[in-house]
Amino acid sequence: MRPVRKAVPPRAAQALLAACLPRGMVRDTVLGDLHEAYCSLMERDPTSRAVRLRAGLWYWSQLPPLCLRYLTRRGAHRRQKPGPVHSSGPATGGRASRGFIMKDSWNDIRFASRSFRRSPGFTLASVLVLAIGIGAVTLMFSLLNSVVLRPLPLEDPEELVWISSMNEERGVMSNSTSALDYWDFREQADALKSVAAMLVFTPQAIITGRDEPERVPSTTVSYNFFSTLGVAPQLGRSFLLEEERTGEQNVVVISHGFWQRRFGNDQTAVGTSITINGEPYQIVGVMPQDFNFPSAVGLLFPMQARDPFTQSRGNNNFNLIGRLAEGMTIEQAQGQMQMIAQRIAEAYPETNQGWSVRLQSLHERLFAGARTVLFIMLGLVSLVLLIACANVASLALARAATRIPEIAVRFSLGAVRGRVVRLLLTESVLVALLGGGVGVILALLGMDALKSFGPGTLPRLQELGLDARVLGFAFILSLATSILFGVVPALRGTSLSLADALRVGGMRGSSQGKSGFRSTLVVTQVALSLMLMIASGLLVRSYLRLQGVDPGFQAQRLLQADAQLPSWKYRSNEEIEQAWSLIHQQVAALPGVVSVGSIDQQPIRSGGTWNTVYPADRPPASTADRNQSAGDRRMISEGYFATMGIPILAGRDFSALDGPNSTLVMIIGQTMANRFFPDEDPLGKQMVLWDANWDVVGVVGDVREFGLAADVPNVFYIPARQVGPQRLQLMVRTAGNPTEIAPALREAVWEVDREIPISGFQNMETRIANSLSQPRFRMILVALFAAVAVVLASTGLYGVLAYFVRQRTRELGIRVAMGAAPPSIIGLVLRKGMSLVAIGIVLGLTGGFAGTRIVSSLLFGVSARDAVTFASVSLCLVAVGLIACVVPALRAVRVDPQEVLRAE
Amino acid sequence: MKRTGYLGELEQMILLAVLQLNGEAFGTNVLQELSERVGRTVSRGALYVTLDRLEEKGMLTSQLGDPTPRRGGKPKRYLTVTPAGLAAVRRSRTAWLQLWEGLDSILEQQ
Repeated sequence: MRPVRKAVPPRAAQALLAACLPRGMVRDTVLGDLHEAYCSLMERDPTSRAVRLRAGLWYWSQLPPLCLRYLTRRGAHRRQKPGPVHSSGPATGGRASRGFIMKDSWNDIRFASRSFRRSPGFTLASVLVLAIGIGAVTLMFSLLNSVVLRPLPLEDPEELVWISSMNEERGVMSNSTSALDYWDFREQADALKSVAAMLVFTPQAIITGRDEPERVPSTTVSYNFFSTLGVAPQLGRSFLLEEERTGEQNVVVISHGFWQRRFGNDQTAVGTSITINGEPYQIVGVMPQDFNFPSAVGLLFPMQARDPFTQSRGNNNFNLIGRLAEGMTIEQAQGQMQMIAQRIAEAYPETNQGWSVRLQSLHERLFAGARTVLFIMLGLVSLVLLIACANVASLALARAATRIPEIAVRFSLGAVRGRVVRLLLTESVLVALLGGGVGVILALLGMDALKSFGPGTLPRLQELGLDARVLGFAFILSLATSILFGVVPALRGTSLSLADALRVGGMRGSSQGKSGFRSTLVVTQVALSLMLMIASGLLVRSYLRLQGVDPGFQAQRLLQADAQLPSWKYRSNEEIEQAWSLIHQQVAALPGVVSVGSIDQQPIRSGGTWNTVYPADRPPASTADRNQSAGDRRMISEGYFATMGIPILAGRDFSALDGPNSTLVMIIGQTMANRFFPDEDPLGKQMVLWDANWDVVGVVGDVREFGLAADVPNVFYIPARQVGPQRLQLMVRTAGNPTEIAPALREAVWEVDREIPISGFQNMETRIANSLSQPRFRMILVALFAAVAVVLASTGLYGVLAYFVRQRTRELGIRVAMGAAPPSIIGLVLRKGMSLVAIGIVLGLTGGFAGTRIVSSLLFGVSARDAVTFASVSLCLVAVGLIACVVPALRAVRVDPQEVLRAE
Repeated sequence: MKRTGYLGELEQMILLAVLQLNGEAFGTNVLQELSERVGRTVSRGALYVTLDRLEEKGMLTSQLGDPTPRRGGKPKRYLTVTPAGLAAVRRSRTAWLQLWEGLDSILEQQ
């Protein structure tokens, strides 16, 4: 059964609440009441994430009224009487003063909110700037949280380990395991509570009998797969050991999604029979909704000793997942598993020589890739927040300067400096919390956008959402932010002596130092935004490179569709060959179809089938060499190359005459030709595949099999007619929009046989675009960050220059009166502004050189220190800086000397 | 603090809710009682602070129940209205009734 997790309210909220409540009975009972109410909320459905989120939000929402009431009450209450509950004793004095502090804080808060109303412009600007920064970081954190940090929806997921085979001699680091090895491991490993196996691929099963035939991805698992993961079926049962051993009766467990689709949530589906691949299967269980592993699989079969997948130790068809036994570490389990692997290798040197195992946590295995990328993104987006902090700090400094009279009055009335600093800090905290609140709303909007536009290949993207952890993160982030931007202005704003403050000229004298600090802030902002611009520029260039890569075929107006011949109807090579010929004829005859060809595994994919293959006249010397000599094998129909637009560089295409009974023929890709026949003509040579000789009859252009970013592998093609595959992808070149032809295509195939499922219609251009979705997503996000950063930095620069001009109005007026020409005045302001930009750029370039190594793992075809990028983004920033300087400079020119002198 | 001797509205409602709950009253179900009987939503902050105040005035006493895991190991605060509390509620009731007298017809016309 699925364990019910103990309901515990958000710890951070509990701690915060405890800090606000008076110690003793009140605190304990209030916390207890809330705990109980939280538990009642959770009881509605302890496993549902929505309920947990709602309960957590409810708990957090209780905090503000409770804390405020108690903090204000404590202050008021203390002043009246010490209170009987908290008794007398030496602690009372200290406690009482703490009460006053709280009361003072309340006063500070009230005062701060009043002062916001007095200067709404400052408040609005700061809140907005912070909201953008906090919102962006919160968004990235929530992405990291839901994709990577959140535990798997399995029982005690930290105990689960992924077990892969490795062979150091051959340099194979991660591989699947054969069923026979698996059974040995399962029997002998006691460092693992249990070991489960699952087929590495998810073959399509054909469901017939009701409605139209449907293809459903299926997989085969060991009987203990569900119990190892700690997930029980929602209905019915999981597999029995007998079903794995003998497999006399055909049984199947179905996924929740398939159950909903095919049975409309019918509870009586368990026990009924369903026709899969032409044979009846009994449904014994339905999985719960949140179980989606391996993803998108609709049918799960028990592995069986008589299955072709499970035969022989060389057939490494299974992935293994283990659950650590009580108190065992991964290292201990790995040690034991390696000993078992060694014993197996000694017993079966033929197949297992040199093979051992490696254990890693399941979470690591599933999410390590996404984690690196997301941490990099989080790091980049933190730069935006830093810039936002510098920006707000600069605003706060300017505001502190205007408040000198107020602060001076406070001092003269006897306020201690610490007390005034605290007042100013309270304002910062409030601004930051407001900014954080708006930021969370922005992050929520961003999440919706990410869910619709984010790359579908990112795991668990659709689970993106707010939870207590994200909220807590945003809260702490806001507090940290307030310290970052608030402390220096608060200290500097109060560092004036009373005499200074009250002196008329005091303002001018003391603000000199502040403008120096503001300049430092501007330089920081320029430097940080340049670093972000560099990162974004590199990603843009890398993406453009990627987009410019020639896939090796013409993707325009090309439609793919998966078709599969039911295995129970088409058995012999002749039957299969005939069916495919008919299908090709039917499709080719459709109006709007230019040509058609088929392949078993279309290009732009994440993995494929490979086989050992080598020239017949140079057989590999050893078993190890034999395994090194591999090529990616594709089965195609004649006309495939012409349809795809893949050039035939030498020799000929396959023809209808290359059938099951004629000479075996092969066409090889250019990369493979260069590898095996660097100095000779490959045509007429013979290759060995599956212990048979195949004549090389042609050489074709290279195709980016594994996506535009991956290297071209050794590919060779053999005629589908000579092998008889039941499943092929039809590639159709159309005259018009390829997707419009899909319904007609389906009908054409069904005219041959209505039991042939046809699905997976996809425009090849879309397929290529999808393969680039992750790099595109990263590029767009980072470019957005950079844009925000530049806007913030340039407003910061503008602010400092505007202040500079205002401060020097008198000096400028005198200069104009003395006959200074406008260009020299403009030059004065520009020199001031551009010198800040220049220092910022130098620092930013230095930071960029040091930091881009981090993003280098995300780049394709561009060096992390690409000079063009560095130079062009610097120029771009100079241009933005100039624009930010222009308005203050023009204002300086317009200073009217008469007015200035009159004011004197 | 008002020193009129009369109870505030919330104070009165809370005392009455505690009486209704007949010895079983504690924070959460007092809130429920108020919301179910009169549809009044009271924040926990207001409730607890009022309870403390009533206790300080000597109108309520509380006993601690046993801590349970469901409460995170924290005890429950059971509330009882003291004779002084009862007298205050009575006094308020009398005052209200006296003020209401003769107004029924006017208010009905509205």
